[in-house]
Amino acid sequence: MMACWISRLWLIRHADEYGATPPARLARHLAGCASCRAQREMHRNLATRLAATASHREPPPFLAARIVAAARAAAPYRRPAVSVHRLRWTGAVMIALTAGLSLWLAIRPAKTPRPVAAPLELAALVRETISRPMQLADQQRLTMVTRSLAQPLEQEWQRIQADANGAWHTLAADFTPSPAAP
Amino acid sequence: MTDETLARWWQEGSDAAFAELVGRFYGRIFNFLWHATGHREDAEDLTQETFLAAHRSIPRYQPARTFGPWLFGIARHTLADHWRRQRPCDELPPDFADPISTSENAPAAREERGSALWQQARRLKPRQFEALWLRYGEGFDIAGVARALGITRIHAKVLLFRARKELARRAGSGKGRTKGDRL
Ligand SMILES: [Zn+2]
Repeated sequence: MMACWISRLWLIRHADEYGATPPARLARHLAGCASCRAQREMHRNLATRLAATASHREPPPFLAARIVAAARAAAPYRRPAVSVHRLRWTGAVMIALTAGLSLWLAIRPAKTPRPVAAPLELAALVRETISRPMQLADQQRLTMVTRSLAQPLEQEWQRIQADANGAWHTLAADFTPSPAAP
Repeated sequence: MTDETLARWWQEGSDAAFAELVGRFYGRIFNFLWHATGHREDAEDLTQETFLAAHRSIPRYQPARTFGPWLFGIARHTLADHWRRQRPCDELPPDFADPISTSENAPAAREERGSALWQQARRLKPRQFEALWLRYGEGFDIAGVARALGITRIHAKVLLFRARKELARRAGSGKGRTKGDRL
């Protein structure tokens, strides 16, 4: 049979598990040992009585409010120093963001020029041209811009001049007196 | 909402979570301290001290662990500081007088002090009383008792076993000491 001192070790281990059946070896010892059985009963009864007689009284109602006010007054809450756990998470998020940004930069569509760029450039040039004395470089650039318009106008003017010359000659011939009249 | 979730929010600076946890636990902490000291006003002050200490310590709380035993652990430290200040000669305050030998044995006075058995329990070593209260007053399991006391589970079982045995002996039942008892 198990010695009593070994039985007491088993009792310590199982003293808080009253609902459970004691292990077979302990049960065999208890069946044959009145002293250990009495010990076990004493612990069981005392535990039951302690649980039944632990009185809980109402705390003063003002106490909770007093505690919260005292905590606020004593030390305004400071956020805790960053924990290792949180630091690890922050690091992981930063790495993920960096990787994502790199990937996007690598695969993003090539930059196309915006269609408003040319008119804006022309407008800026015109504004510059009229707002300050024209220089040679500006004149050349302006000529280039207006060349396509200037050429048809010149041709038209030459046609008008030719027509006017023809008309003048016809009128002059009609109103000029004949020099050979006797 | 679990205590542990609220404690995590408290850690993150939520004043409302702190207030909610005070509401949930101040009565339990007060009862523990009232039974331990036997003084209502001391228990009130120590309850407040406990929560202020918890407020300072909350950054170190690990939300994976149960909140109750953590808070009771702080209450226990607060109580130990109180004993160091109040009881240098290990002398019991008047409230701890044996109810059997005192004239103040009216039902009202008994209610104020708690049951005779718990009054006996108060006179045990502080650690023994604390283990008993956490186990039977609070209903913590062995793991909870161990966490609150900062000891291993088997140590908690030994502590409870010895506390019950000593209590039985002091209560005069005569069953606390038997032949061959070496534990
Ligand atoms: Zn035995």
